[in-house]
Amino acid sequence: MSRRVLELINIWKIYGKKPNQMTVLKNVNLTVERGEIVAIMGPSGSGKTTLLSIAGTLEKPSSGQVIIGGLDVTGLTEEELTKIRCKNIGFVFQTYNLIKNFTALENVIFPMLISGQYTFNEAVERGKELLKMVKLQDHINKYPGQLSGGQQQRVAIARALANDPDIILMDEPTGNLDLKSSANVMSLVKWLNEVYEQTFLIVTHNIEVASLATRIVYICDGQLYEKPPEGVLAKHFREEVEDREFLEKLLKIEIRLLSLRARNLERRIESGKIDLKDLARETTFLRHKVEFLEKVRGR
Amino acid sequence: MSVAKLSLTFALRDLKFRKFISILNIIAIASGIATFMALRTVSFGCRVAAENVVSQVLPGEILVYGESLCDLPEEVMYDLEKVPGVERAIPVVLTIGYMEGALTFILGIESKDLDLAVAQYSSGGGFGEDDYRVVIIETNFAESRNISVKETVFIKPQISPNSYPFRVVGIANIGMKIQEISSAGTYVIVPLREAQEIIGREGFITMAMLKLDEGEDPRLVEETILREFPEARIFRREDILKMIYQVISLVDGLLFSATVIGVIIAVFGTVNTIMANVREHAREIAIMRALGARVSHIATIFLTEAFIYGMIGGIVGLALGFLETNLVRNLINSIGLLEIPAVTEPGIIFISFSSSIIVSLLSAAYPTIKACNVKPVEVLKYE
Repeated sequence: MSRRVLELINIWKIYGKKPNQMTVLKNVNLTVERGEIVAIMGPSGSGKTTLLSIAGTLEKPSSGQVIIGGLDVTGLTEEELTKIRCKNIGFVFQTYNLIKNFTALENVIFPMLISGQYTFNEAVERGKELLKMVKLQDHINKYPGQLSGGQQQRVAIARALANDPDIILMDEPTGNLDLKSSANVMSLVKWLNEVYEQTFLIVTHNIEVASLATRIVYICDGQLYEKPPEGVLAKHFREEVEDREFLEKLLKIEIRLLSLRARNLERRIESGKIDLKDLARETTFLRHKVEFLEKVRGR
Repeated sequence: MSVAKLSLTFALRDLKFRKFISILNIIAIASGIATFMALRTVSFGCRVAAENVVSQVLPGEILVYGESLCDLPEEVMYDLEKVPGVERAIPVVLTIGYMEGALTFILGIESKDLDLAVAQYSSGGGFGEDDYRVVIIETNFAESRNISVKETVFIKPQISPNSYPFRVVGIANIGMKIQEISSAGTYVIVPLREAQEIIGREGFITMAMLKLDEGEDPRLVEETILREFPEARIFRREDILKMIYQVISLVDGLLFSATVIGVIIAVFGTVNTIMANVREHAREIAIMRALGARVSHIATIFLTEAFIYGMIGGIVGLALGFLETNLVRNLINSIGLLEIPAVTEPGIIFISFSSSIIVSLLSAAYPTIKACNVKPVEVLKYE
């Protein structure tokens, strides 16, 4: 059995077409080995979820290779990928994503039944054990709406474990949970990893969740880093601020706004619809603004 | 099988969680099926009723008559009986007259043919070969005029200035009559000779009714008769039935448009319900796809739901159809146009029920395709 459960090789993901195309992932390489808990951290819009969807075969990369359990799945058809997702990958989402027409037990047995590996009775037997594992043996016949957020997330974990997947992909698993439920869910992840050598790839904003991982990788601006990228935000900031052309544009807009305000003041004076107090406040404001703009231009 | 079981669970829960919409959808399907079934059943009943009436009015399969009223020589009966395929030839005189001031259809037949003309005696009996000036009158008329057996009634043929006294020997329900015409007057049966005598046409009859041997083709017999008697005018019972069927088919066609509207409503109802369902479950479909559900699994879920709608709609539709059929049947019977029997066309229950399921499944096809096209990555859009 291969130690490498997931390999992402030279992954690029580009949305749209020229000239409006947007590059979300830039030459990403990631290998996850059996028994690891890998956390992916990064700011919003950095490409975390896209990376997760490509790792989970929900989306195809624009270029690069995705290898799951030693099998290159990059060129497989949607129906072939469906089988891979069913047997090799487990998913846990931020909003639990349980099927509301099914009870907790039915949600857990669903992946087993569609895999075609288990009979209904076998699936039920396994499902009950899995729910016992996540401490929900007393809630097997409850609908998702009757469970708390933490309980729903534990059902989702039991469902992800249903077909003994190579890897479980988690997208902000504690994003919607309170502190206690988050601790509950993450301790479960840790136990499953230690006791069953279950592999996890977790996308999170939460540094405390990431601290439970055996390895943390960082994603920023579509690129993956083994260490937290330093000064990335500051670099972007400097680039933006040094854009003199945009500064000129801003100044012109401000002058136009001030001239509109001055014209408005003139009209109100002519029609006698302004008292002395307001007139004094407006003229002070305009004088102050003009002086400030002159200062900015002088820099 | 296991996936089917879970699909059934999913579909049943949907029905349970969305009761109001589901009930409306089932009513839409059921009303279409009920209308279809009622129309088909009533139409079938009309055909059976028409056959009964025609068989009653015309006990023979073939009618042979002359060019004008009562001008067929009686001797022709002997020749007609010899025609191959003819089992029995019945001479009949039919004329109009008055009895006790009421318009009367006077039917003259031989005593041996009374069994064909009388449905049931309520008092008295038939007449014999040698009986003279005797009459069998209708039960309803006798009751309304308080006439009993052995009394004398006066009958005046329309073409004669004289009235003739007849002794009532029987009061009966007369079979060989057209119900619709009889509402204009009453029927009486007199011996053939008396009928000929009172209209002054001794030796002539209005028509000859021919009963054929079992399985005999009336068209072949007609051809034989026309070969021997080219001037004869012939009317086949099946021609009359054909004309009646044409009228019923025309009415059927008109009523069918009403059924089509019902079916269209059912189709729109189902498409709308399943479509709303797909939209509502779009996220869950994406979850299922992400979890590894194949297109066939998703299709099974929504087609199962449509199947259940069709099945329940079909059962409710059949029940409503029976009620609707009885209602229409009673309405027609009460008007007195036809006595529609309580018979159901063979296979109509199966056709109605399977139509319900087929319509429902076809209506679900487009929403199901939409459901199958939901991409698994959609699940992340909700995050």
